[in-house]
Amino acid sequence: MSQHALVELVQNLVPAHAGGDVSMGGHGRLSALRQDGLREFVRMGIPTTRHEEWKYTNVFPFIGLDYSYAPMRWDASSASAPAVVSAAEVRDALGQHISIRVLNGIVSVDAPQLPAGLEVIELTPELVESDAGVAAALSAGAPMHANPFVALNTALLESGIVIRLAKGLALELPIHVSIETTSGQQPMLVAPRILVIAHEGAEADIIQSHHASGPSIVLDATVVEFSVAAAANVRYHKIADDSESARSISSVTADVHRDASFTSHALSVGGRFVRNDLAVRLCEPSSQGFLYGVSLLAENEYTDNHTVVDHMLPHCHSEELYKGIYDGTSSGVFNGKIYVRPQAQKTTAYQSNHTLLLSPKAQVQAKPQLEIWADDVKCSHGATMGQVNDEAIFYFRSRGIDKDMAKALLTYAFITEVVEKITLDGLRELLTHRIARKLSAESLLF
Amino acid sequence: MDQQTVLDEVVSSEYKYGFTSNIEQELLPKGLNHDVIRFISAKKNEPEWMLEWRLKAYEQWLTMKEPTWPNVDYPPVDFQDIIYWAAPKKKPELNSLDEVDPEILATFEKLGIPLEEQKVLAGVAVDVVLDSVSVKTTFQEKLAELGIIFCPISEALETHPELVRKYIGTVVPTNDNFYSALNSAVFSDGSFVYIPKGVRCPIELSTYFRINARNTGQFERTLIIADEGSYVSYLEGCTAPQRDENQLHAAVVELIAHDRAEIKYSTVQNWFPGDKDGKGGIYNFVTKRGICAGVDSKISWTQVETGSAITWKYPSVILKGDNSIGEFYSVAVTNNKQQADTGTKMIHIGRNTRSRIVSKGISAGVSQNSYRGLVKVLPVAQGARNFSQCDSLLIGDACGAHTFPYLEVANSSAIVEHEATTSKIGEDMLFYCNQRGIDTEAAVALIVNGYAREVLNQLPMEFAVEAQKLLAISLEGSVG
Repeated sequence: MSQHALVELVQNLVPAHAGGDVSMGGHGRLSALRQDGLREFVRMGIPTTRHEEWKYTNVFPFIGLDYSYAPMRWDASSASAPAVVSAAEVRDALGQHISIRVLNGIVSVDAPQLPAGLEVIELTPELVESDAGVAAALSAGAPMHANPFVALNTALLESGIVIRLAKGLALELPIHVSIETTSGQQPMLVAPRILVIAHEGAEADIIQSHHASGPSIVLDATVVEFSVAAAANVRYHKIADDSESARSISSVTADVHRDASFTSHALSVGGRFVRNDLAVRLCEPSSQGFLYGVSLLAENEYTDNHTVVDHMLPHCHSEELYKGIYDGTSSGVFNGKIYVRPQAQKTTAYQSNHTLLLSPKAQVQAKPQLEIWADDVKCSHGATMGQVNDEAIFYFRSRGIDKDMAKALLTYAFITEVVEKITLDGLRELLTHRIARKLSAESLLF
Repeated sequence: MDQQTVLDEVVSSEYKYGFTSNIEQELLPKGLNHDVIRFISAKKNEPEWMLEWRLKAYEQWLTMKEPTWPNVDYPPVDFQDIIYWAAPKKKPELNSLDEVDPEILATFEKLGIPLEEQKVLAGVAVDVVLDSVSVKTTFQEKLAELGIIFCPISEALETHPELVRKYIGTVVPTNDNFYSALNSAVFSDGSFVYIPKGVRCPIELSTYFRINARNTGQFERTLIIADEGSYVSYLEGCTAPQRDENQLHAAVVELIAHDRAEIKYSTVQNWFPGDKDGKGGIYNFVTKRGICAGVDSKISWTQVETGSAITWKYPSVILKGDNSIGEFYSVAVTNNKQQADTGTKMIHIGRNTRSRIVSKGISAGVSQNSYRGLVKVLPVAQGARNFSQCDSLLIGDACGAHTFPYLEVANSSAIVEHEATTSKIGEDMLFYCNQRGIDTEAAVALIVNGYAREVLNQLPMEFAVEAQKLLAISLEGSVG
C-alpha cells in the first residue's frame, strides 16, 4: 500500500526529523509527533472494506486522485474573501458570534475583541514546546494508531487552531469554525486540526461547519480534540452541508473529566461522502456524554457515523440518539459502540438509532454494539429501520393533505426530536429550515 | 461451580468404577493429508464422488486461514496434532446403576433424566427386557412406514447416495469458512434425515434413539431435508454433562425446507467447559445453517448452550422462499473461564419474509459472552420483517457481556427492530426472594429461569424441564 499516491504525497510533505529543542534549532515535540503520524499512516495504509471499521465505507473511488495539499497557515487578510454560500448562511443564522474561518487551509479570526479568558491562537511548534497544557492535550485522545486518516492529519500537522477557555469562563457568544474550500482544476487535500481546551467550569458552544465549492474533489481530513476539565460543559455541533465535490473524513475526540459534560450534535443535511468518527471518553467519575445525530440524505449522498463512548470509571452517564432519513439512492451507516470498562460500575448508558427509508433504492447499515466488562450497569440499545406509516399517511389524506406533503410532515416530525436538543436558537432554526427545504415542506411548515 | 467441577471430574474418570477391558481401537497416525482423507472415505465405502468432494474441500482448506474475528481468546490449535480417524471405542460396561458413582446419579436426578436414559448415559448395559434397541427398532419401523429416512449419514451414502449428493454442501459450501472446509474434508459421521412430501414426522427425532450416533467424533455432519409440506422436529445433544477426549469440535449442520415445510431444530449443549482455569475444555466451532428454499417454509433454531470452553456458532437461516419464516431462540450461559461468541444470521431474500431473534446471554465468573448477529435485507426482499432482542445478564463483577449486531437493510419496505439490554440481577429482586425464605442461590436460579423462559418455552417439553434444571446447576456457586 505504501506505493499509493496519497501515501507518497504525505511522505514527501513530512520533513525528516532532526530531534532536539526548537529554541536550539532542533525540531522538537511537534516534529516527533509528525514522524509518528507518518509512520502509523504508512503502516496502516488506506483502509479497505475488509477492515472492520471501514466495512461499509469505501474510500477507494476517490483516494487515488492526484491531490494537491493546501496546508494550514494563519493569515488575517483572508477574512474578507467571499464566503461559500452555505457558509454565509450559517454565519447569518448564528447572529453575533466569534468567527474562525479556514479557507483552503488559511485561518483567519473575525472578532473585534475576544472576551476575556478566551484564547484563539495558532498551534505552532514553539507553542507545543513551551506550553505544557497544549502539549498534553495534543494527540492525547486522537486515535492516531487506529485511524489512518488521523495519522495522516498528524503527519501533516504544521499549524492548527487552539481554542482555550479559562477556568470558570461561561462564553455567551458561540464560536463558529467554518471550514471552506474552493477547489480549482486539481483535487485538493486539506487537513485542519483543532484543539479545544476547556478549563474547570468553563462553558461554551462550538459550531463547526464544512462547505466546499468548485469543480474538483476536496478530501477533508479534519481532526478535532476536546479536553473538557472538571465541571466544564462543552456543546459541539458539526454541520455537514457539503457540495457534490467534498469527501469529508473527520475524527472528533473528547476527554471528559469529573462532573463535566460533553454534548455533540452531528448534523448531516447533505454531502456526497461524510464519515464522522466520534469518540467520547468519560475518564473521571460522574462525567457525562450526550451524542445526538441527524442524517437527512437524498440522491447519492452518503453519511457514516461511527461513535464510541468509553466508560472508564464509575458513575458516568451517556445518552445517544441518532436518526437517519434516506431518500433517493442515498445510504447511511451507524456504528455505535458503548464500551464499559471493568472499573466502571454504576454506569448508565443508553443508545438508540432510528432510520426511515424513503425510497426503494436507499440503504442503511447499522451496528449498535455493547461491550460490557462491569456488572453493576444499566445499558441498552435499540435500533429500528422502517418507513412512514401508511395509516398515518391515510389520516392526513383523509383530511385533504396530499401524500407527498403527508410524508414530508411525518418525516419532519420524526427528525424533530433530535433537532430540538440543540439549545442554540439560531442554529436550531437554521437546521429546521434546512430540513424543511430538503423535504420540500417549507410552504406547509413556515 | 464446585459441584459442576466435581461432576466433570467424576464423569471423566469413567474407568475408576468400571471393569478394565481390552478396548478395541483402530487409529491412524496424527495429522492430515490426502491419504488420511482417502483412508476415511475408503473405510466408509463411500462413492467416488464423495472422495473427490472431500479432497476438493481439503484443497480449499489448505488455502484458508483460521478466523480471528470472534471475541474469544485461545491458544492456537495444531491441526496436525489431531487424529482424524479412530474407530468407535467400546466403553466399559457396568452391570447396574448401583455401580455408577452416586454423584453422577444425583445430577441425573436433579436433571430429571428418565431411568432408562440414565443407564445409557452412564454406560450401563441395558436391561434385556427394557431394551432400548427394541424401542429404537419400533421407532424405525414406524418411521420407515411413513417413508422417513433417519440414519447415520454414512449409511445414507450407501442407501440413498442420490439424495445426499443432491443436497450436501448446498447450504454450507465446503469453502464457506475454515472449519466447514475442514469438516467437509474429514467428517466422520452424523445424521441424515429426509421427510417426504406431506409427511408430519410423528416423533421428535433425537440422536438418543440412534445408539451409534454417540460416537460420531469431533467432525459431525448433519443433513436434514424436509420436502414439500412436511414437518420435523429434531433434537440434538443432551443435558447430561458430556466429557470428550477430543478438544476440537467442528460440526456442520445443513437444513433444507421446501415449500410449506417446517424444520424445528433444538440443541442442548453441555460439553466439558474445562476446569476452573479453563484448561481442557472443548472448543466448539460449529457451522449451522438452514435454507427456507420454498414458499411458506419455516426454520426454527433453539439452543441452550451451557458447556464448552469456547463456543463459536451462528445458526443461520437463508429466507429464500416467499413468506418464509426464520427463528432463533438462544440461551447461552458462560461461567468460570468459558467464552462464547454466538448468534445468528437472517438473510432475507424472498418477499414477505419474517425473522425473529431472541437471545439471552448469562455470564458469570470471569467468562465472556458475546452475541454476534446479522440481519440482512436484500434489495429484492420486499416486505421483510425482523425483530431481534438480545439481553445479557451479568452475575459477578469480573465477567463480560458483549453485543455485536449487524443490521443491513437495502429495501425500504423492510421493518427491522433491534433491542438489547445489559444489566445484573437486581438486589431488590434477590431481597424479595430472601425475605420469603428463598436462599440466594435458589433465587438466582429462579430469576435466571424467568429471564430465559421465552427461549426455554420453545424447547420440546421434556427437554425444557431438563434445560431449566441445567441452567440452575450451571450457575451453582456463582453467587454468595
